[in-house]
Amino acid sequence: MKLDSKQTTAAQVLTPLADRIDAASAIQFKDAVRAATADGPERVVLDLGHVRFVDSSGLGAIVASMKHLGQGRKMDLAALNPDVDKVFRLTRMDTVFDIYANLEAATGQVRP
Amino acid sequence: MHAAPYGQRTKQFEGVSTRLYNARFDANHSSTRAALAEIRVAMEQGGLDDMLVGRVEIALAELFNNIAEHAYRDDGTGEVRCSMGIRGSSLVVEVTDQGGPMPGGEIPEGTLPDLDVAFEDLPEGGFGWHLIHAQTDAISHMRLALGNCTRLNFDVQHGE
Repeated sequence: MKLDSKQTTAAQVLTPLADRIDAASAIQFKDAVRAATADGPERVVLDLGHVRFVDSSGLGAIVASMKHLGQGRKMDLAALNPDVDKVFRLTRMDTVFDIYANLEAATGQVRP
Repeated sequence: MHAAPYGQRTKQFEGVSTRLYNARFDANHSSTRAALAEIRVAMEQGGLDDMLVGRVEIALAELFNNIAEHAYRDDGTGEVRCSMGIRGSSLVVEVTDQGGPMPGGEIPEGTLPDLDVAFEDLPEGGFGWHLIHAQTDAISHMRLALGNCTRLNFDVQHGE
């Protein structure tokens, strides 16, 4: 899976250039995030602005990617469309991740 | 002869006024994706609203993945048949497969995995049936002589 990566002052922003993170692409997603975050950014914002659909396998891949970063680092989410947001809410994963309405809100936040 | 052969025309579709979709596809990731895309187009062309289309897509994605991974044990050879239509104020969907039985012979309750756990133990799966139940207004399952028949109903007028 293609991931756009850019460094801002607030975080490394990862933007999957795919409209689905699902059972068919979960492994490719995990591999791509793992490779893109190997340099060890403290905070990663996963920008889901291109993603229209996430199923439970995709959700699991996002959780696995967050866990792979480790507890000393952080993965936040931004720009979830209504269907993707619903999957996070229904599984209560919205309590595990900090979720921002858009990328500006996610990266404009000043870290303490 | 099987008592309830695979692919039989069942009562679910009596009274269906608009047939939106009826197809068979292989139970693997790429065919499932293609089928979901076709189903989305069929629902949109059928005039269903975006929220309902989203609910059905999530529910069917999870059901198809479960069939591929569990009923067919990920062997990549099974077939799924899906029919969808409007009956009154309901969208009715019937999904049949020729795979193994549900655990315990029934639809799983879909209890959410516990999130109050150590960081490294956060669940990476086990959400599927919870999502299916959350998206559907009614669901039933029948074990066939060879396979499964799962019926999902969605109220067309459904507020969240």
